[in-house]
Amino acid sequence: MFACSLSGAIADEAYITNQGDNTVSVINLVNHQVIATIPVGKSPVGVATSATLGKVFISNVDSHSVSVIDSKTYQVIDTIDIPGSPVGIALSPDSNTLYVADWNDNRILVINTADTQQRREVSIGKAPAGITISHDGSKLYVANRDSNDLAVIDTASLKILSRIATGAHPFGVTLGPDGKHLYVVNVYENSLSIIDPASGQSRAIKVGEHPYCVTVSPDSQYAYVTNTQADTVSVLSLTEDKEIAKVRVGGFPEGINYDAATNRIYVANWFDNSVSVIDASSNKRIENIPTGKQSRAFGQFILKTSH
Amino acid sequence: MKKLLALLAIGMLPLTAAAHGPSPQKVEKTVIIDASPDKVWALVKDFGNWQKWHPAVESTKLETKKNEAGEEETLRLLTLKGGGTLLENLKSLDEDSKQLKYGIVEGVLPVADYYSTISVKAVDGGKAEVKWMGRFYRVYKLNPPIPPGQDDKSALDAVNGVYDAGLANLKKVAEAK
Repeated sequence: MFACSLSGAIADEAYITNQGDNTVSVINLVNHQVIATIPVGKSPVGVATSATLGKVFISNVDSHSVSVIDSKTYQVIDTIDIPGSPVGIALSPDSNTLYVADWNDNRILVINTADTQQRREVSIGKAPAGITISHDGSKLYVANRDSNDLAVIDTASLKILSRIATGAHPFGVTLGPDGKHLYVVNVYENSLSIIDPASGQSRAIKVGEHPYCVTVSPDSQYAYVTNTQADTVSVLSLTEDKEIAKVRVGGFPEGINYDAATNRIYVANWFDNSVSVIDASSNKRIENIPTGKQSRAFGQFILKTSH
Repeated sequence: MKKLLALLAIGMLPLTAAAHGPSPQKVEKTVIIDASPDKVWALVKDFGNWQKWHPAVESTKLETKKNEAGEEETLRLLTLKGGGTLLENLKSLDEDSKQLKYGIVEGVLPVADYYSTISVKAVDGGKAEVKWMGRFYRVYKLNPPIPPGQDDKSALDAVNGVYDAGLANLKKVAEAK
């Protein structure tokens, strides 16, 4: 009397924003089927997922809004108006707070997910792009693309604690799973900055042409960076501080996430309207999944359901 | 052709490393040419001689310079028919995949951060398929109101015009005996 079957197995899901047709493709990460295509706002870019809330938040830069998707029904259940141009988006670890970077007005909106009318905001550097949050939720990190720095913000007081210099044009940012280092992609310098937020010290590793986004393996040993103008992903050893492999993916790869459940890396290809799948054990591309037009998937786009 | 030149005739716009708007635009065009992929690729990869097939190009000046990182970079200054120039850099040229990648440094196209790939592949019957893709932003980078000629439509119209006119004439030139 086991109700469990293979088809009913719980799989992680990837929520891929398709800028060109204003949709989100939902991919089952066990069988790689696109299980839903959800209409959202205009020119969707950023993604933040919450297994706790059973919701996925999508930033729509050209309709100045955030779409809220119910991850059980794959329907948009709410649309949050955002003044300005929402791009980067992230949730606090407890999912109580949504942070949205307003690109053109140089601020971060801080939104209560239980009551989205409850908002605060903080002004920061120029063109805030990628954002991420410390594991304890106390600090918000913002890559200010046109200020060439990373802002560290206290989430309780919304005070800027420090601004750490990065390379030229920082865009994607992530915190390593061990919580010790921040990884910032420098678009105009073809490099990845590795920053210790405690000391403010940083180092850099060379990557490929015009890099955009980064993800880190669960053991914090490897970083994976999308090189948009080389159509590759750089695999970087963080113990040796060097590139150990270059994996050919689709055209103009942007968003990238590591799925811990399957040990695969998922990459959204803007030019090719697809998601490439990389096997982390071999560093080989194993599949290409057709999605929608101009896939971006900026942020944490994998919804973890498997643990 | 007149329409294309009109699209280009908006004056010199410096494309510096400044901010661009958050929504990149895309143009993708393909054409099937009744000629061998090698013959078509020979025309496409000749970065200093696009005037041989692109009807908007009057002449090309090719040069090699060191970029900010100290690496050798190939640049071309296109002089367009009807006036105006485009300074472009060659990003890569891959013989195996018959793909060329380039960008615009500065020039008369009403676009920012323009990046493009053009590739040739074999299709049935010994024909060639050429795919030309571009990614770029509009010139005006801030919130509305957007000044005329600096919006997404102006950028898209100009690039569509360049690709349509170019591919149509590439087909004509490559198919000529």
